[in-house]
Amino acid sequence: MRVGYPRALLYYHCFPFWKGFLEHFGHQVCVSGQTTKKLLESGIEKTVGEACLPVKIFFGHALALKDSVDAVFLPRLVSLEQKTYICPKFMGLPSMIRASLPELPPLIEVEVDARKDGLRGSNGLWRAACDAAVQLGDGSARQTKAAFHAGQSMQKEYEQMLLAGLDPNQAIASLDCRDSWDNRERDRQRSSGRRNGGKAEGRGTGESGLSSNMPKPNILLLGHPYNVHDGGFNLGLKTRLSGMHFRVTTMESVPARNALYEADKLSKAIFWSLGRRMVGTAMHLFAAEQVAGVMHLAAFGCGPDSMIGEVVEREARRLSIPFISLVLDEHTGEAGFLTRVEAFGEMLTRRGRL
Amino acid sequence: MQGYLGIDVGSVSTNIVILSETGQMQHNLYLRTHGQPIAAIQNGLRSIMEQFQDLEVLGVGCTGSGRRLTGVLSGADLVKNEITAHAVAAMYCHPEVQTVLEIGGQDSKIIVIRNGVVSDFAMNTVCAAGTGSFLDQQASRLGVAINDFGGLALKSENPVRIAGRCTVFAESDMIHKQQVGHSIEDITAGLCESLVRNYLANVGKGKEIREPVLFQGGVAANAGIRAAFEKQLEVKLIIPEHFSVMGAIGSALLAREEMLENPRPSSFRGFTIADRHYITSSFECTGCPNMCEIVRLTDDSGLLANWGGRCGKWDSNGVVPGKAATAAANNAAENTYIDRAKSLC
Repeated sequence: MRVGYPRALLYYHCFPFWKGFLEHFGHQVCVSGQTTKKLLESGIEKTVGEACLPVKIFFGHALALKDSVDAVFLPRLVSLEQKTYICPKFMGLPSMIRASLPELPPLIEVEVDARKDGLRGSNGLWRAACDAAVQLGDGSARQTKAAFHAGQSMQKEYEQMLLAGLDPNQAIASLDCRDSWDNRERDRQRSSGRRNGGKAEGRGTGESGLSSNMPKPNILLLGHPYNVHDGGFNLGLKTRLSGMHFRVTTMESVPARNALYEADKLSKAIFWSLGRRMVGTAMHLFAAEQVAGVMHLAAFGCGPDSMIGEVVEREARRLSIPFISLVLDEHTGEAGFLTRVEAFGEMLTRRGRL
Repeated sequence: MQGYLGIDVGSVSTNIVILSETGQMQHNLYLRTHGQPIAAIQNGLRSIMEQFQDLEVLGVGCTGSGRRLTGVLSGADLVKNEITAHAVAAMYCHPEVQTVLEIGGQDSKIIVIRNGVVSDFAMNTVCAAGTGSFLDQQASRLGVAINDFGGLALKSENPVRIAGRCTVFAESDMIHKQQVGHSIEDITAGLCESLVRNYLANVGKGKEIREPVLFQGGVAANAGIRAAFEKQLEVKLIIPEHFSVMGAIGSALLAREEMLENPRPSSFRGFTIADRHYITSSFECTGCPNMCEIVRLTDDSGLLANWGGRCGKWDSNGVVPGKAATAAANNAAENTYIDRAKSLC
């Protein structure tokens, strides 16, 4: 069966698990293409007005899969980790899609709720996986278990690549190669070592070209993964920053346990999973003095983002680290957005020269 | 005479300055853009050419919302955003400055400077509430010349309170106050106060406003706004001598800095650009579903530049792409044109 997976929202967070899981059962997993203006417009047209832009983008991606798959896979995310929640729009997403897009092929809806955990430490994924297997009409309990492990190992591999500084889009693309990450990495280092006389080569998008003598200033690009890694949403911000000779760090490159350790130092726990990780990442990197400036990228109307931005901004201000908040929606004028990005970059460069 | 040119093309005004080799102000021009930036730049350059026939341009810097176009048109050595330009100019005029308030035609900004470097800034986003063009509009609605607006506001003894959160609401509120019979002086003063309140609540939100505070941009000419700022902030504002052309000064200074750091002959295209004929056109690229709007600038001699694409395929920055690409561009442009024409039928 061809199972479609929209390249939007938590695709960047947990797609590899479901890819590994579904492929183990022999399904072909089809992902929608990059976010383009056309796709965006088709999504905006079909979504209720009050939804945020990332949700509208999700609708566009779901629509793009319409004619090429037999079913669309759509987890209903309630809670990703114990004692945390996620934005209510994720909980309602499958229902919204079902109501607004009746033309879609059948949906495979599974609930991911870490608070109703079937298997300890699986954060609700085990329950969801069993449910998915039933809905797909696949296999025995034993097969489900094997598929679950296949998914987990693919997810782990993916997270390792992110920690190494790889962009999620590249990391997911490279999952398709059978070869394991470690082997490939070793090969690559060996061959690049031969090419440029053993000089270490920067990994990932942000770091390539470290060969110049000056260390590049590091910008922490903070935001939900679907905002940060989707160039169609953020007008190619990451590429633009790299083009302005900045190193771009995102929250994926800091181990979750380090981030959560820092986040728990706050006087009150943050109960949004990704928000907690964002704040923790910022505090971890602030403590390590590895950040020249912070850019907070948020979707207009996002409740969690407005709160997280404020928490990080206060901390950054206290340490006199430059901070800028960029809020985007479908009406954002590119010119004003770029002026602010350029000015922020310029400010960091000029500060760095002193 | 040798000098540096700074060009600031904004939505309302186009400003050009000439700085001497050492960075001293030689000449400045404040022109209305009237929605035609190319014509405004050409008029400005023509008048400079007539006045300074022996001017040798050592470097050109551009800024403002029309900086991209201006950069291509003039062959600028440096194109920089408005925030950097304004900050550099402010620090040059008053090295000890800590805060810059800037209100222009369509945008307003606040720049926080500490230890001689920008440490924070903010700019209005999509909403142009509380900028010069709104004042302009309301002045003409009240039948007051914009130059007299500030003076009138100062005469008020009892300013009315106007909702300044949004200019649409502000306008209906003003009409209401007017129909109740408040004097024009009180209404103008009320408008100034609401504009400043709105600026401080939106743009200035959370920013530490420390003295010395510089107020620049075209709106700094308005005595009513100045008074409202001083009343609400309880600080004395400094209005720089050339407050209306600070962006242009900043871009000239940045060009000077650039040319001193990396000495080279300026890429300025010469004053003859004032007499050329420029055409800006645009088309939707059909190469991918992003459908970027590509802007292309041509003059008598052919294509000058394309910009606006996300993938960089069209970015030629003054270099004419290969024949095949040009032909493809022409085809694409023509097709879009034909499509549009068809859809109109």
